[in-house]
Amino acid sequence: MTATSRAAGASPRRRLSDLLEQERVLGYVLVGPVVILLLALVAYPFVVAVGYALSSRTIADPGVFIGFENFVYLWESQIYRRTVRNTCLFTLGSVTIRIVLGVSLALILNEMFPFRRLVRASVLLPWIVPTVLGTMAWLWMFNPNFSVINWALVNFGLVSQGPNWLTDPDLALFSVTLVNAWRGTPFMAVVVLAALQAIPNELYEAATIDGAGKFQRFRYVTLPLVMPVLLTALVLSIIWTFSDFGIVYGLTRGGPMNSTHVLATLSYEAGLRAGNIGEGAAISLTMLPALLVLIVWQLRRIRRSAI
Amino acid sequence: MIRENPKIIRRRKLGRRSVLAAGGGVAAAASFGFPSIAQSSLRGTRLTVLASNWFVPENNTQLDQLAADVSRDTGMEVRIERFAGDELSTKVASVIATGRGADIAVGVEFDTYLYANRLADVTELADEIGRTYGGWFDVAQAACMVNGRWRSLCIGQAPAAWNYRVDHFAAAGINQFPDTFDDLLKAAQTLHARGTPIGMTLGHASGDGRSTNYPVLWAFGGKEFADDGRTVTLDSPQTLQAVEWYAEIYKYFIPGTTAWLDADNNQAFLASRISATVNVNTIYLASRAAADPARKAVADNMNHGLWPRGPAGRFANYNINVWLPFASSQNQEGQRAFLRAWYSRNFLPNWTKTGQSYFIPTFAGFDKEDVWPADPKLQIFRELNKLNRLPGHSGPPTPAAAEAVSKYILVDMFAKACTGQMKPAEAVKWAAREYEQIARRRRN
Amino acid sequence: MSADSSTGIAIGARHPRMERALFLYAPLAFALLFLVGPFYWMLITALKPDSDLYDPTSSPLYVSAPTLEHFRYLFERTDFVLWLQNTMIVATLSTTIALVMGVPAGYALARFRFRFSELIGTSIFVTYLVPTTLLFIPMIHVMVQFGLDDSIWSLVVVYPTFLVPFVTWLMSGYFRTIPTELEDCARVDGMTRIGAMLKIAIPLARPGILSAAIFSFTLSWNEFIYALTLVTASTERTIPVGVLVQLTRADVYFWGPLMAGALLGSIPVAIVYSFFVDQYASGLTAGAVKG
Repeated sequence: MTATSRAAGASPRRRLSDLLEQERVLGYVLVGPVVILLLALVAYPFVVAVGYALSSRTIADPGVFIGFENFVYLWESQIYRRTVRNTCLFTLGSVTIRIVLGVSLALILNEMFPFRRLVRASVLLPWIVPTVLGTMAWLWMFNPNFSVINWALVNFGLVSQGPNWLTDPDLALFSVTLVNAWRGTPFMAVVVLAALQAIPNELYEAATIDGAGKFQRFRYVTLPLVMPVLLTALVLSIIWTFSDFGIVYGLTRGGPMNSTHVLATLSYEAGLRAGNIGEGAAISLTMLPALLVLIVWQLRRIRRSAI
Repeated sequence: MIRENPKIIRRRKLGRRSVLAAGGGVAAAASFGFPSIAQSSLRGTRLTVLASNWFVPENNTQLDQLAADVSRDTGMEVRIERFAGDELSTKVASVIATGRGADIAVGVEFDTYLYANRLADVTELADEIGRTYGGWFDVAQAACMVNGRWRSLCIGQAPAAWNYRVDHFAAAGINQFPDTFDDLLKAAQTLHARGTPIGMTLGHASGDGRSTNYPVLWAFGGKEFADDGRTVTLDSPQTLQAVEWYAEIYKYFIPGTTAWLDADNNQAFLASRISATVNVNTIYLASRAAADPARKAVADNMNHGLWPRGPAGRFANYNINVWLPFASSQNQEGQRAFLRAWYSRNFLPNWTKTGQSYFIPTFAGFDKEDVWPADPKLQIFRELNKLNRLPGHSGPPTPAAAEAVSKYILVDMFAKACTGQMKPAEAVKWAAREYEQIARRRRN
Repeated sequence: MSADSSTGIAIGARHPRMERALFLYAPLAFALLFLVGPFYWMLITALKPDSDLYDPTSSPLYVSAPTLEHFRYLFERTDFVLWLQNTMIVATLSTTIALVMGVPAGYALARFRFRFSELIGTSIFVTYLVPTTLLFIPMIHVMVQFGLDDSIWSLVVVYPTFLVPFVTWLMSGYFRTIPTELEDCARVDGMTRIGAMLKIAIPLARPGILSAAIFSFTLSWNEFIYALTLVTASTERTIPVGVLVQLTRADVYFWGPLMAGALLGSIPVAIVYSFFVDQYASGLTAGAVKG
C-alpha cells in the first residue's frame, strides 16, 4: 500500500491503486459493502413487507393484493387508535422523565462526592441489562401478591393497600412508561455528563469575572453548550421509545384491555398471534412517517450547525 | 387462572430426578410396538417437537421420558424444545410461515383452522386412535377436523367447573349446587344477603373470560354464528335472554368482577371473599397441597359443581391443546411414530392420571378407564369432560370466532349490560355489529 | 475532571452542608433508588430460598438465609452456560462485522465528496428507523434461503443490519470532529488515501470506535425478536430468550432463577462498560453532534 509496494506493483495493480487514490472511487469502495448489506437485508425485506401490508396475507395463506384496505381497517379500528395514542403518551412520558432525571443526574455526577466513580458506573446498570430481563425484575416488583413496592408503601404507612400497577388499565400505561424511562435515563445522563465535562473551565471563569451569577452561568454557558448533545440524545431516545417492543411485551403483552399496546406490540400481536401478516406489517409501517420527520429534522439541524 | 404454588415448584425439582431414576427400569419394559431398531426406517432421522410447560410438573417429565423412549426404540432422535405459552404460539406461527424449525408442536383449539392447509393429514391415525379409546368427543373433532380431514390430534382440555364453598352454601340453606339458572340467581341473592357473595369473571381474562361467559350464551340458546361458521346470528331473543339474566345476577356479585383477570377470582376465592366462581381445578389443587392451615381449610370446605342447565341445555367451555403435525416436515413417518407412542396404552392413560384431572384427553372411552384421581372432590371432572364446546359453536372454531375471543366481544357484551353502560338490547346489538365487522373482513 | 467550584453550577457554594444535602445527596439518593434499586431486588430474590420468597410475612428487603439454589438451578437444570456462550459469540462477531463495515464507510462519508454521498449517508441512517417488527417475517424467509435458520449464525448475519447504520452514522460524525491536517500532511509525504485512513484517522478516532463498539455489543446482547423467531433449539438460544422462555411455566415465573439469570446475563456487559465508560460517553457525544 505504501510507496514501495506501489513502485513494485505490476501495471494493473498500479492502475488499481491509482484508482483508489480518487476520492470518488475510494468513497464507493468503502461505502459499497454497507450499501450492499443494507440493500440485501433491509431494503429487500422492507419491500417484501410493504407488499405484505398491501395484501390480505396470513401466516398460512399468501393472500391477494388488496390495496390500502389494511390501512383503512386500521383507521377505523378503535384498538389501533388507542394504540397510537398510547404510543405517543408512552414516548412523551418516557422522554420527559429521561430528560428531567437524566439532566439532573448528570449535574449531580459532575460534582465531587465520595464514591463518585462507583456511583457513575452503577447508574449505568439499567442501560446494560438485557431489556427483557430488566423488565422481568419490574414484573416481579409489580407482582400483585409479592410486590416490594407495595410492601414498602404499606409498611411506611403511605397507603393501606398497594395499587394494581399492571392490572389497572389507567395505571398500567404509567407503569410501562416508568420502566421505559428507567432503562433510558442512564444513557441520557452519561451523554449529558460527557458534554458537561467537555466545557472548558475558562468559560465559567470568564463569565464569573463578567459578573454572571450561578443561574446566569447555567443559562448562558452550560445550556447552550450542552443543548446540541441533549437534542441528539433526545432524538435517539424518541426513536428507541417510539418503536420499543421489549418493555410492553415483557410487562403486559399490551393488556389489560389493550390499554398499554404500543405500535410495535400491536403489530407483533396482529401479525403473529392473530396471524394477519398483512395487518401486522401495515401497523409497523405506520410508525415510519413520524420517525422520518424526526430524522430529517435532526439531520438538517446538524447540517445547519456544521456550516 | 393458573397460580403457582411454590410447593409445586419444589416438587418438580424432586420429581424429575426420581422419575428419571425410576424411569430406566419402567421404560425398558414399555414398548410402543415399533419394529426393532435394526429394521427401523426412522433410524438416524430427527424429530423436533415444540412444547409448552404444562401445569402439573410430572406431565412434563413424562413427555421427556416418552421422547427418550421413542428415541431408543426407533433410533430417531426426538428433541423436545420448550417455550412459554406466548412464545410457543410465535414459534408455531413462524414454522407455519417458513416451513422450517420443527416437525410437531403443541397448539391450541383455533390453530387447526388457522393453519389447516399447512398441516399434515392424520385422518387414518385419528381413526385408529379413536377406536382404541372408544371414540373422540365431538369437541375434539370440532377442534381438529377441517373439511372432513383430521389436521391435528386433540391432546386434551382443562375443564373449568363451578368452584363453590359448601359451608357458605349450607349456611344459606342450599345443600346442592344449583341446577338451573333461576336457582343460581336465587342462590346468588341469598348468598349476597348473607355477606358471602359469588363472583363471575367479566374482565379481559384470557382463560376465565371465555370459560365463564360462553356457556351462559349457549345455555340460553344464543349462538355467535350459524352452523356454516359465516353467518352472524348473535342478535337473537335467546342472546337477549342470556344478557338479561346476567345483568340481573350481577347485582348480587362481589363488586369489581368486570376488572377481574385470570388470577383474581382465584385470589378472592382463596381469601374466602367469594363463595363461588368458575375456574379450573387449580384453586383446589393448590389449596389441597398448601401447608398454611387457612388455605388448607379452603380445600376442605369447597367442592366442584356442574354448570346449571339452561333452556337449551348444559354447556361449558375449556382451553384445548392439540398436536399440530406440520405438513412441511421432512419426517412425516417420524411424526406418526411419535404420535402413536403418545396415544399408546402404555403412555396416555398414565399421563392422564398423573394430571389430576387438570388436563384430560377427549375420549368417550376414558369414562371407564383408570385415569381418574381418587379424590372425591375431583370426581365431577369425569362429567365436566363431556360438556366442552368451542367458541363459534355450533359452527366450527373459525379464525373469525378466534378473533372475537381475542377481542373479548362476548365478555364485553355481558359486562356492558351488567354495569348499566348499555341496556341489554343495546349491548346485544353492539356485539352483533362487532361480529359482523370481523366476519366481513375474514370472508374477504 | 473540572474543579467543582468553577463549573458554574456548583452546588452548595454558600451554605455547604444544608444545600449539598438538599440539592446533591437527596436527589442522588432518589436517583440511585430508582435506577439501582431494582438490581438490589434482583440480587435479594436470586439469593432467597423459595420458602422465604413466597412468604408474605418475611421482609422482602434482606435475606436471612441466603442460598445459591437458584444459581445452581440455572447451571444444572438449564442450558444457561450455552446461552451465555452463544450470546458472547453473536455479540462479538456481529459487533466486529459492524465495525469493519461501518468505520470505513463513516470515514468515506465524512471525508470524500462523491456523487450521491449525501443521499447515501441519509439513506443509511434512515434504514436504522425501519422497525424490527416490520422486517422479521421477511427476514426469516431470507435466512431460510441462506440455509442459516435455526442457528446462531443467522443472528450474526442479521444483527449487523441494525448495527451498521448506527456505527456508520456515529463514525461519520466522529471523523468530522477530527481535523484533516494530519492526513493531508501524510498524503503530501506520499501516503495513500487508504494508508492515511488506516494509520492516521482510525487511531485518532479510537474513542469514537470504542463507543460504537460498546453500543453495538449492548444492542446485540439485548435483541429479542430475531433471537426468538430465527432460533428454535434450546442449545442455540441467547440469554434474553433462553431465560425468559425456559424459566416460566404457563403464567408461572420461576422468580429466583429468573433474577439470577438476569444478573449473570448483565455482568459481562457491565464489566466492559466499567472500563470504558469515560471514552464511551465522550465518543458518543462528539460523534452524535456532528453526525
